[in-house]
Amino acid sequence: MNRLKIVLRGLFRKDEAESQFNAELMAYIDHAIDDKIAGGMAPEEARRAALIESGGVEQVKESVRSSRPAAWVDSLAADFKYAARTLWVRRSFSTIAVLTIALGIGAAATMFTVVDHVLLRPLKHKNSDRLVTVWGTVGALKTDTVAGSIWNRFTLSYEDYEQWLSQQTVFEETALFAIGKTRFLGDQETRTIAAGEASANLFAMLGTTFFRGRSFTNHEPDAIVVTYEFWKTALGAVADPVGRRITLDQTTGTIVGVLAPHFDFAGYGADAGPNPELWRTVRTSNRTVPDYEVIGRLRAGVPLPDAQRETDGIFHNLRFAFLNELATLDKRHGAHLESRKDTETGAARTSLLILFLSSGLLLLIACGNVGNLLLGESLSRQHEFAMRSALGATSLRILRQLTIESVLLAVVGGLLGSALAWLGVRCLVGLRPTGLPRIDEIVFDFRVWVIAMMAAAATGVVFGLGPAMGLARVSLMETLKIRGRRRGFPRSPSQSAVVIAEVSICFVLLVGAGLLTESLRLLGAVDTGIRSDGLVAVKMSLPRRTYQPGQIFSLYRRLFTELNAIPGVTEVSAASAAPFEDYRALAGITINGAPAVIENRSIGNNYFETVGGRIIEGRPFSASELSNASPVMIINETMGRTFWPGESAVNKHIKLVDRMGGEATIVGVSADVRQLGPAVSPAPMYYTPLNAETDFTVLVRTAQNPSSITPVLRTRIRTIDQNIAVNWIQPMQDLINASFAEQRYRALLINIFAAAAVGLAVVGLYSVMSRYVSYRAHEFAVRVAVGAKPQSILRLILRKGLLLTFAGICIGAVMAAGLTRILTDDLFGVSALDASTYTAVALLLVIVSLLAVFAPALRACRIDPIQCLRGE
Amino acid sequence: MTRQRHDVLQGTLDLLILKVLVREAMHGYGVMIRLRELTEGVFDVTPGSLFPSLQRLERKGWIEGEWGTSENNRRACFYSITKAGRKQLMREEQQWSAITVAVAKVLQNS
Repeated sequence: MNRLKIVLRGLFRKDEAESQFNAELMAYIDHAIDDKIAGGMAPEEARRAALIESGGVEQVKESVRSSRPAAWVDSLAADFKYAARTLWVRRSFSTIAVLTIALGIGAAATMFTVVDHVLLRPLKHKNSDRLVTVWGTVGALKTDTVAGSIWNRFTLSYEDYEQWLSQQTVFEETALFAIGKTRFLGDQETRTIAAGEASANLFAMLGTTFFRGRSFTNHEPDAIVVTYEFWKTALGAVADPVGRRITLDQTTGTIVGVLAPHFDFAGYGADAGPNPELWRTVRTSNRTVPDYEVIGRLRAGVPLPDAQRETDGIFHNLRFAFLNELATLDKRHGAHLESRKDTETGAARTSLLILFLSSGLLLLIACGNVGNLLLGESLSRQHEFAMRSALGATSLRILRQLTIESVLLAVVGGLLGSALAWLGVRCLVGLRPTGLPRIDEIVFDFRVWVIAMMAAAATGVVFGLGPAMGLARVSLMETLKIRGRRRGFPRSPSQSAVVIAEVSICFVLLVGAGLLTESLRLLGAVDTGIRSDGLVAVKMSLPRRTYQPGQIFSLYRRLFTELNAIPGVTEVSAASAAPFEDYRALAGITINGAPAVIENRSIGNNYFETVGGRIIEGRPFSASELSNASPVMIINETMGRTFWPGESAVNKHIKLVDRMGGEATIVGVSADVRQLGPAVSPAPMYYTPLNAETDFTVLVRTAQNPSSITPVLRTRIRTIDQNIAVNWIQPMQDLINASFAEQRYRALLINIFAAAAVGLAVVGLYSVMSRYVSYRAHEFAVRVAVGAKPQSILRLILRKGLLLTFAGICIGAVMAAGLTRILTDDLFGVSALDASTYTAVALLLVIVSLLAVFAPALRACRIDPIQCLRGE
Repeated sequence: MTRQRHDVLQGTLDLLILKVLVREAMHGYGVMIRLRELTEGVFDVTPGSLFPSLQRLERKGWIEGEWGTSENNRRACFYSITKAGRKQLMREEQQWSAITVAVAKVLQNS
């Protein structure tokens, strides 16, 4: 304690102590002078003698200073001051180093923020590490390559859920929920909103708090819990939301509670969609409707595989209401369990990791550049350090000095990089990229900042220490002797190695960026099977109570006539969903006795003409088939090829395994339409006549600009019945763009990283070659003096630079071949080993490095031998 | 090696300064002159080691400095020994004689 006080006093009252000591020392010397004068010396001589005897005023002061307890703080502070001063003197070097570090740290910290908040941190629910999603799986899909394994996740019925609950032992708590849509009749508008049904314990289980009121119980069918956001916007943040009645689907309910802000809980898989805006209790009246997602919390200590095994066993014996006849075809149904975090974030993981890896590679290049910069600087400062050690500085002190300098650079760079990352995260979140879960949780916070600063400091120490160690070993005599004479070419293979590494990392990043960009280009150019320009989709839903099937058919007719009458509209049709809409409909069928699960759409009159598709065999549905929902089908080309290879599918029969049962006749075959999005290659699919559906999409082809017709469509539909909810109106081109959105932002980010990487590598190559040229300036001067042509020197430098590039390209190609394999699933129409991409990237790097090397090379062959040699 | 020797010398210097100050308060130059006289020139203390020693002793509370006027009418800082300093001096004197006896024994026997 006392010691600390003394240290502090030493620090803060240093000036006072200093001046007091000065007075004391002066008194000492004055006394000595007095003595010497008394001994008979002349005053001047006495002063001289006294000063010499004292051993030098400054030296005495220094020895007193360094004996103080706070001396080490002083010397450290002095080192910092000196470091700051030297860095300031070499401003251009410092600026480049700081900006490089800032760029690397900024990119990596941005991506780390996203990865940390989305993938690493636990979900915000209570004990979320033990939360598990439970799905049913269907035997028929286990070998199914059409729909893919991800679609083998089925929701359960209440009956199945209860059966399972009575047998299971691994979960401490479970809840079920379903997310659907309901029509909310607001003051201003009628719109369809996502609404959830849940067992009453869901909120308690997730640890969700309430902003107002409470949860519903299992026996309150009229009770409604709304989200904070719904209360804010739809209810206008009324003061007393609890007890208010609102109308949903023409029934009214009472609000019993408002959830805390940001209750993030959307459906996944088949029910993927926006967060529900309100919640009601589970309607258990129909116990066999298979609509429920199940979530449970494992007992502490139960591993997921154990739970999977038990649940699989129980599910195998469940009735699985949804399977209906499909169950009789294949009895191997079971369970699929995954951690809730995987459910919510699994789809985004690969993309995020690829981007994080890219930013890490960029950081590596930045580190390489800074290391090379420091190395180059330290070589040109050899003389300074030799001088300092001649004056008595220990090599440890010099090492400390250099480390402090590089840490100082790194810290400033880190601060700047953090600011960049903060900005980057804001921009990224502001873009609201589709497919990025937990987006509102992503902020550049203290934890990320600390990690970023630590990474920056580590960069400084690691990449500063290397050059510093080399310097500390520098031979004093050798360095001082060559002062003023030509400096020998430093043997620094490490600089070349760094450049080679940088080029190879660049290669990897560029190949990644190139492959993703090429995929994006191919996606944009893919033949989707429809003509998207001039096509507008209108998503509608009808109030269920007032529209009985017969009325729906007459509404279809009226809609088609009225919309067709709008000037500029050429065709109108409807379907259960527009092409590229986020919509799946799978049905079980048997073809020749073999079960299959096939994607399907139901379509209205004139469908293929409207979307711009083609019937390639047979005929479209007739008017009568459409109006009485005849058991007829049009299949796509792929389905025909898959199940009736080499023969015509028309007039073949398919047994339906849906609730209606029965058989359908194929009347036509259409050209493939990429209904699931431009990126999804056509799978077998069939079309049936549009039934009496309350939710459907109207398709309108217009000769005008699609967005100009939107308001006309909206008002025209409103005049037909103002209770019809228009959920959205979108030009088809927008739907296509939306389906690329994820690929586009990913490609954009990777391109930014790659461009930054190339920039850094160019700077790295340029600086190494510049140094090379200035070190060999003398040699070149001699060569020119004895008759070498400038071209030969140019060739020499270019060869040296290109050699580094080629080495980098070769290593990079090998690395890329290994690394781009993780991209395979994200590529479209291009192989991860695409030769033309690799060649293009190699060419680009050669050209860019030629540019980087050319300036120093030109300088080398312009060396004036007379001036250079005379300079010695 | 060199550092250890330095420490012994420094410890010795502290002991000698305390001893010198027991008789009367003195300023820095006075301490130096007195030490030179007492050791007959063997201990020629330079200010570079004297002042750090004085400051260290003051920090430890064994001596106290006070500004006053010297015999030749100059302002100087006069150091006097404190109570704690006297105790410390006794301890160090005992230690010193113990060490010298021990060292002398070793030197005689070998």
